[in-house]
Amino acid sequence: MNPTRPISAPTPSKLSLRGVGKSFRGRGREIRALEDVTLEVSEGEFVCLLGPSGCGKSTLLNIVAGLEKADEGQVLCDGEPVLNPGRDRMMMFQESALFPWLDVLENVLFSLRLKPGMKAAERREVAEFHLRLVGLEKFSRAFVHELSGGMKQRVALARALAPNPRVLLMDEPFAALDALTREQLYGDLQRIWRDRRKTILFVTHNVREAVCLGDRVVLLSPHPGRIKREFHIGLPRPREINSVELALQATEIMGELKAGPGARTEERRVA
Amino acid sequence: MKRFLPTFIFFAGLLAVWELLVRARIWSPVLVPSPLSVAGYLVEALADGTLASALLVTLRRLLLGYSVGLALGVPLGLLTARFRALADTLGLLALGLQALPSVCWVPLALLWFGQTEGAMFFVVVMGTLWSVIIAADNGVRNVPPIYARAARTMGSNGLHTWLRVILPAALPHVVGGMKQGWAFAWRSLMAAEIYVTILSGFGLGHLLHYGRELNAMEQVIGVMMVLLAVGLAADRALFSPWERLLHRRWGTDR
Repeated sequence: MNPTRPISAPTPSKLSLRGVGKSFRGRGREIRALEDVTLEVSEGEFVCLLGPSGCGKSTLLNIVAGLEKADEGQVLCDGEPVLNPGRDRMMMFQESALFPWLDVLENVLFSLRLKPGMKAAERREVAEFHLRLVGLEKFSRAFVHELSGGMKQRVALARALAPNPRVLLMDEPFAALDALTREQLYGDLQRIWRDRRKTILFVTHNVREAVCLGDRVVLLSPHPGRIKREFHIGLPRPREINSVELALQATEIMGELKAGPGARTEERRVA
Repeated sequence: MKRFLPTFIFFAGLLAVWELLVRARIWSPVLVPSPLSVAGYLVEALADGTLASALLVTLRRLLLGYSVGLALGVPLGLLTARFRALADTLGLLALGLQALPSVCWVPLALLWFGQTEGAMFFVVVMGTLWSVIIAADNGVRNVPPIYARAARTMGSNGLHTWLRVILPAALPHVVGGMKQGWAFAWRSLMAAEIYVTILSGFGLGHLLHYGRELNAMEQVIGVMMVLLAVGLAADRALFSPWERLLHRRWGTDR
């Protein structure tokens, strides 16, 4: 698990979301996905965006990634407006999105090959370093279908970390995994975040997961998606998902999640 | 070796049943020759070189037309998948024409090119091209959009995304289309060769045709067996390596 030669990480970025709004046209009517979302994320902070499905949290992440454009407002990354995807902001998805035609090492190298000014030997060293970081150095020649779900997400994490981004955007990366694998990955992600100093924006609908990982949990309400409340999580790290303190915090947030007008809207929509 | 035993027994059994039916004298030996007389024809045709030269002529036409059809069809299929205007025009034309039996091109090819290699080439290309376009187009449309999105976040765009992400991701479909294109090319060439006499080269289709004219049933069946063997060999040589690669990487093998 211990990387032999550390590769220095750049300073993490500061993110500013200012009055971000977004609408979609679906089935003839306009759906308001996000409304006036304003959020400051400081350098190296771990922020979890928590909300029920349909609250626009993935859309918000896509806008920060530069994969989608906001209709109103803007996103600043270190003061620069985000217009396109960039290597300083790498993204992880719920599906690993690894390429089945490449082996594990080649998948990690894919992002590095696009980074200008790296020699082949250097790229390989960086890729192997990050595979060691996620504990998969023995699987560098395996193909994607030979890996378990948790291993796939580890490779996806290595691939996202390899170009040394300053921001890591994670869209429910552990949602499809079993509980045991997830718990392991919570530990690994906290360790990697501490060692590699990234600003992380993490989208989830799992309250405990948000409390376990985030310095701050930002609660979003749906229809339209807007920030409802923020919670600062002061629990010491590394956090254990099954600890009592964590459960208490999660219960408080869960109460807020169920009580709000957002939850009622959701019920009406279902009925 | 164990795998070959059932295969061997199966084909030996087929030959045995055939021989028994011939010996039972249900049909005239003129219509159903014995396996031995077919083997006799094959040995003779191999010895005097007619079979080898016909095989060479046919394979040359096939490979030429097929590779041109492939070289045109794959890029065109990628383009129809990328641009809606092309999908609504060329894509629609390809969809219509791939359903057209390629033997239907033979009269047209004859009038345009006469009894020349050009006519053969044209028919084979028409047989290959449309189904390859459809397969490549279909392959691209079946690529999960998440691949391109992930690639974009890593800094890939434009041509790089097409060559490094979408094309390899579509490969299982493209190889399937190549295989289908090969089958269509093979069929259209046989139809053309049986239909048209080309003075510049005497192919397997001609051999088949003259077998019928001469009432030489052992020649007809002998040539058919050669066609079958070529089909199998092409599958093994051209497509099996690709399919093995795909199975290994995508994990689609049993």
